[in-house]
Amino acid sequence: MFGTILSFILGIKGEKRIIFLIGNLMPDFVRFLIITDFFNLDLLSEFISYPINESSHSIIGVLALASFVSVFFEESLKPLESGLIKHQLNSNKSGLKFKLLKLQSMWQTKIKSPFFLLFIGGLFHLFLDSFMWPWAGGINWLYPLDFAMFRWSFKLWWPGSFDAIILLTPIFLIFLILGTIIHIHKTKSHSSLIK
Amino acid sequence: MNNKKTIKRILIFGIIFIGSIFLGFLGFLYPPIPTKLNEDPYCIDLYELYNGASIVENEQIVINQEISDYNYNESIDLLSIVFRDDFYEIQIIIQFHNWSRHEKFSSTNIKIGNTYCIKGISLLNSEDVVIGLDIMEIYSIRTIILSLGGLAVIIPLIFYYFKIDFKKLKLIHRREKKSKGGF
Repeated sequence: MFGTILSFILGIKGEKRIIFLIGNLMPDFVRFLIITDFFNLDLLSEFISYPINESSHSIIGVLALASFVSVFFEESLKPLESGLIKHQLNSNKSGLKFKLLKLQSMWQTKIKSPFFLLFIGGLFHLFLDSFMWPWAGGINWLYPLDFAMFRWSFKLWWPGSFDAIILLTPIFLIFLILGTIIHIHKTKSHSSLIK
Repeated sequence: MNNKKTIKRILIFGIIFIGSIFLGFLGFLYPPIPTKLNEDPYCIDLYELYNGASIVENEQIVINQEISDYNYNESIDLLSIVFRDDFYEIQIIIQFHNWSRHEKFSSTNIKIGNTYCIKGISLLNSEDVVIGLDIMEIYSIRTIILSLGGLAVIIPLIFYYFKIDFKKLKLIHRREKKSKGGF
């Protein structure tokens, strides 16, 4: 949900959005190892699942995961510059609007690497996790350095509670409505330009 | 992506994750010294609490653990919660005085096997107990369900945008729709 909001804000679309969302879920892939808990495999859970879970929730862990998952994608994605932006860039070559459009165009054409999308997706996951109360010691951003100063948290809600969803659903809905309005407006102006 | 690059990426992943298992093992041999940030409580696990008892004595701690056993003494209104780690053979007792009047975060019904996050003051060295201040149940199953829900959304979307190249085990873009002209 929050990944979709951010991808909307950053203008990440299509297959790039999917890769970004995979990046969002990526640090939790190791959760399947927590299954060892259910089977009382203490040795596995103490020495394998928990250390891996801790490292995957850090910058270096996200880098490693992005590096591995990106292997399953093509190295370079197609640039996503829309025809409308191209046209507006050609017709309007000065002012703030031009600069903003250029920035948007640059951002959309530069993000070609699945690795980069997975990495920023993973970092966003860590950012969202840091809103929770620091259960199990919190997010160790600079793992393997293990000091409280690297485990900061916003301490806003408890993990497993529905507070986050209840608090953030209205924001998500606002973005969804805004996004739909902008999309309809863009489609209309695009079709009027074609005519 | 050429083979060299693929091998390099898999190697980076392997080294970091094998390294983290190695560090986890080192943490067992040499337990980390508990640290805290400013006025925050020490966020530690059972093993760290047990080993760093002298450091966190009289200090606020936050611990997250499955409850192994509990006992409520009605006559003195005292709830004793037992945290046990069979692997390390550690047992710690957390006491909540005036439990019936205690201000709880959410849970009033303590259940064995459920995970709770407890804030308290460690008196392990002097009195062999931790004095509980706040308690909150952690619904880990909800977190897992939410993660699985995310996957259930992502997987169909992956197959909408990509198809699998089984020979190379790669996800490749589906053929682009033909443009209707314009830009």
